[in-house]
Amino acid sequence: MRNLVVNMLIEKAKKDKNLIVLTGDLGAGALEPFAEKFPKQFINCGIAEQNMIGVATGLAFSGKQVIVYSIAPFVSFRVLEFLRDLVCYHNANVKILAVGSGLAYGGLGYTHRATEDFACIRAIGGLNIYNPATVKECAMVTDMMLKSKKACYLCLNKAGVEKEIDVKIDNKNETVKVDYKPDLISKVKDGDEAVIVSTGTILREAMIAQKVLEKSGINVGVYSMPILGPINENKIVEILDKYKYVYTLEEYSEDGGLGSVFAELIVKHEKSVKFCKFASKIANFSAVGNQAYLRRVNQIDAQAVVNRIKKDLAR
Amino acid sequence: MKTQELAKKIREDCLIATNMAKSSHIGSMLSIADLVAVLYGEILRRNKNDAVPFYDKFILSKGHAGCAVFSALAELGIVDKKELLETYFQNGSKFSGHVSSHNIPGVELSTGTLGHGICVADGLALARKLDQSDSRVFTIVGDGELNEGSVWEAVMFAASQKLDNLTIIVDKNNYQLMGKTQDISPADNLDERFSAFGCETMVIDGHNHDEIKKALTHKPNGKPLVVIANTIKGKGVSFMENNNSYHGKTVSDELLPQALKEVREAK
Repeated sequence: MRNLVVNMLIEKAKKDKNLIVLTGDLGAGALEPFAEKFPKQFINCGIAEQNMIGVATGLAFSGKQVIVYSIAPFVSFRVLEFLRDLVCYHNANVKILAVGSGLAYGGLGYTHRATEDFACIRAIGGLNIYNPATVKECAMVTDMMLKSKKACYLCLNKAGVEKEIDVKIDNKNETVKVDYKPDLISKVKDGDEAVIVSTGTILREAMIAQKVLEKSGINVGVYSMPILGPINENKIVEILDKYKYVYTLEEYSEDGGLGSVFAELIVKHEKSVKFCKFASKIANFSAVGNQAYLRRVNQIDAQAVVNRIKKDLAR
Repeated sequence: MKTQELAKKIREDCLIATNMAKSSHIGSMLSIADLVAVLYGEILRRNKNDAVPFYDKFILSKGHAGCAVFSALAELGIVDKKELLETYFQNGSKFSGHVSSHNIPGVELSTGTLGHGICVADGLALARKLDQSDSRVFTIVGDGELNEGSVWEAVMFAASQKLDNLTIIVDKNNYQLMGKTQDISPADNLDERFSAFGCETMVIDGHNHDEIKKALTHKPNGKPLVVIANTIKGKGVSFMENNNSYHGKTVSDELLPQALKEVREAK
């Protein structure tokens, strides 16, 4: 997904000399193709993210479309007040590429994860927030982002969910196909009583859980939410109307993540659904390991989802 | 209007407005009044565009002294003076205690949090370099504001990008909210500090208009210019000068006439 976005930036820059890419000294192995083709439109701002957001704002005020590249914690928590006071308050046309949002950089430790960036960015308002699961969703939201005049925050993992996931279910090799039309809220699978609404690449766990449950005779629906801001309230209400059991699945924190958004909407619209959120927990912040391991630790992996849904549906 | 007259008007307006507001950063407004007067009176070139009145750009990074900028804009006829003096800091006003660009043409950026404005000034200057424009960018930072790390991020960036169209003015009034800057986070040898960061530096009397004009018309070659303006907090009102209680305190109704008389009669 990261390379896809860089390629889309290259295509746009061919026609638009006002497209400027800033990096906080990150992106080796990804940004070079852009930097080589458009050296005057590429600026390494150094390891100084606060100033980088200010520079981006000043450039945007001067008619530039600015892309800011770094890893997620350094362009969210590190610069939150700069985003709030400069970018949001002044409606500056600045696009943040937040690489490794969620648990993607798990092995690097607590400082390099960004499980609360969504809650923070959502709270300061004014930014469109994207968190694609697949390459197709990524292409859709990147196109939307580049056409938008608003400030945007794009959560980006290196790779999207693969088109075919090979897994073992009951000791048998199975292939889970991931093939759906990306949408504002993408309908991935229709279900009967229960639905999993996932955001970002953790869709992989939702798809595996769906397959496992299907084999037990439980047909759960699956949705993917590549757009987290602004929230498509009407579409969520439709989902809440259709399903009795609603599960949100995300790598973001249980405090202020997608699950919190759903909880707010369930109360606001007085929906009588059974609701559970699968999200990262503060108690597990010190755990070290790769993304798959951290999903297990946080009980947001496919197995945890299967266990809970089976229990809720008492089968 | 001569810049000296403009500076007097700015001091008057700030005294009146902050007295009404019962909240202020009057000491800081008085220390930058001469710098702001020269900037708006002689340095910043105008556009023939009411929505974007200035061709050169100025950002007040120390946003708490914003009333000085509002007053200068009022004197230039860009904002309504009566509205400023009647509504500053009041419910429903567009003139907030920290400088605001919202619905106020001529203010480039709302600031208040320190260490923000100078970073945006970098971006404005960089854009002008990229566009090969001769528009210049100015910013005023406080010496207390130099406590903020982001200021130094911005200075390093400006030097590395050779932003010689950027002039950073340090309002060195030697005080910050809780005391003397020298006691809190010493900022001595500022010219050497900025030189070491790759800037050209000048040290001037920040109340001498000839020196200010000379500094702000100087065009450095390949480096950002840092003008360290030695100023007096509370300048122009005898009982406010170097009296740091007027960082946040306003002049009382009883003392306002004397304060206004002093700034009006200043030579």
